[in-house]
Amino acid sequence: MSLLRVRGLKKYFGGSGWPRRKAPLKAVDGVDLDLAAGHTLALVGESGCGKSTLARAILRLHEPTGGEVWLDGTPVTGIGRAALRARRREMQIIFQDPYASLNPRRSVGQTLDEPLSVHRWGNRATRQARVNELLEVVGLRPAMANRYPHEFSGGQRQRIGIARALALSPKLIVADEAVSALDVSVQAQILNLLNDIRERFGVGYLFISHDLAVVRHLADRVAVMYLGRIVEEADTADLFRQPRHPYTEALLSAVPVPDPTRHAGRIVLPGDLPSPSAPPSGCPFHPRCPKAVARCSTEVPALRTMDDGARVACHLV
Amino acid sequence: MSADRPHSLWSRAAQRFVRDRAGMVSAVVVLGYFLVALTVWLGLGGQDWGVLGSDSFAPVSAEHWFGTTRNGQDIFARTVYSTRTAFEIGLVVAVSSVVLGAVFGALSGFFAGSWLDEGILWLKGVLDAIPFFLFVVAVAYSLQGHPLAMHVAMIATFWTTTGRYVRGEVIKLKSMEFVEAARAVGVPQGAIIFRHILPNTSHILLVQGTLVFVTAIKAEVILSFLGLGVQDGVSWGLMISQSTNEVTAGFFNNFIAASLAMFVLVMAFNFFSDALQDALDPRKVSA
Repeated sequence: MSLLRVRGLKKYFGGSGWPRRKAPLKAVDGVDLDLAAGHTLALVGESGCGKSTLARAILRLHEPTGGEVWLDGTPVTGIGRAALRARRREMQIIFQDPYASLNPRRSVGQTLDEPLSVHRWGNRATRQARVNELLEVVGLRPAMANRYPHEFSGGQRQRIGIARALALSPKLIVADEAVSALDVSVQAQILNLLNDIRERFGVGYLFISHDLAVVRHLADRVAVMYLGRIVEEADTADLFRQPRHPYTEALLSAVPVPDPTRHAGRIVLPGDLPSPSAPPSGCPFHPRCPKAVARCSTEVPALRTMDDGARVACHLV
Repeated sequence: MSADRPHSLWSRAAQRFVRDRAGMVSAVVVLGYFLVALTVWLGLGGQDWGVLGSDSFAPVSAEHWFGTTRNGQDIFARTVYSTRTAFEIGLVVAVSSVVLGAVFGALSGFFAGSWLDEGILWLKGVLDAIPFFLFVVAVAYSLQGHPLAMHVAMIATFWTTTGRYVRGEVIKLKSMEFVEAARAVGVPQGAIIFRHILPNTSHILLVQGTLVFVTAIKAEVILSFLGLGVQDGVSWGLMISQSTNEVTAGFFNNFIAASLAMFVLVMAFNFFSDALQDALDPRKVSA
């Protein structure tokens, strides 16, 4: 049984208006995903493709327009506000910007205590012990609990953000570009920390990133997103060895290869990501696709499961 | 950050404030005024402000430090007692209107675009559209000369500026990731607004408080001068109003004492407010 099951998830923005109804912005348009416990599913795609919106819709930080989300076999969508609040202990999020994700007026101890006290976790003494334990797990000293966010570096702040996400021992952690804002050396430390945490506590990660090198290092499986839809999903090794969707091919060709003798044929896509409020007809990728045929502009390709379990949405595969 | 000693944003702001010379001098002056007001509150000074003496227009002397009025009242006692009046009005109006502005501003900012926001914005628009003195007259009339009529009128109109600032700041803050993090953790909405977002506007509230304080003191003088202000007791405004009859007769003691006392306090408070603004500037805090 999968830890996270997403079926037909949609998130549209707008779509109302008076006197004329405006076209909705379809940020996420019918996404299916599965994530096994203790595994890492990476979600990749260029800026504006709907990765972060998908993550927030899964956690119901953005209320989904349609579709279902199941966590550990029970639904997260279609439950009331109180029930949802109780379930939040099972699913947490790590943010991109370590400077914006901590409240500057609250000490680290207060920040880490909050998830515990909101969910009435233990008493004051046990919560205090838990805060100290969390700080140690993420490689900080318990004495730092009295300090305020501005006294920490970006990497340390991100560790605090991770500690907050871990506080309630969640089963699922969504990491939304969790290392993108950090220096490369700090990135490596944080990635190792995330790896350790997965091994120690068995959490599943939904790891959102545009950095394919990082994804390759961390993820078991990769889903490629384009204009609010999944276009390809496969095991990490398979996807990097043999991308099947033309968009994935183009994405992978942009990864620098540390070998001066090898000239990786770089595929440069023409144009920009189309507007999700006026998506192209047929396959949303066809205007930029180097392999597009006539059928691509009229018929939306279904996300089909291949023999090896990968899923691809392309007429040519 | 040498030791594991907490350095909250407040302590850093305080350090910056202490280094600001004009700010410190003005703070001392304001504190001096406050101590004077305190002695009146405690009944230790200025109690005989209403006692009618026998000698009108007595010059400055050991007995009457600032001389006496036409009615032979001691101008020094009246000036001192008026300090209490000024602080009473300033504090009541500043605290109430800032609290009101913070609550309304936070609610309308957090629920920006909703009917609640529309309602609060409409209320602000209406209150701002009414000329201030007309509003005071209307409130004073409807409250039948109640001593707090002036306070009510000021609070009802002064909260809108604070509300506007807080609304804008809350709109900015509510989309920040720490608010999203609080929601992800399951913090109830009310706690998000009042425990996470509003404390981050405290620098605005503090500065607005000092500005409203000064505005209230100045407004009191004008209103009292017009007969719409202080109904019992004495104030700098009443003293200046009274002195109009005396100035024409060539006696300036009453007028100078009241206006100078007010001028120095307002001036000091403005400097204090400026320094506070600099010290609390969040851009400098994060630097």
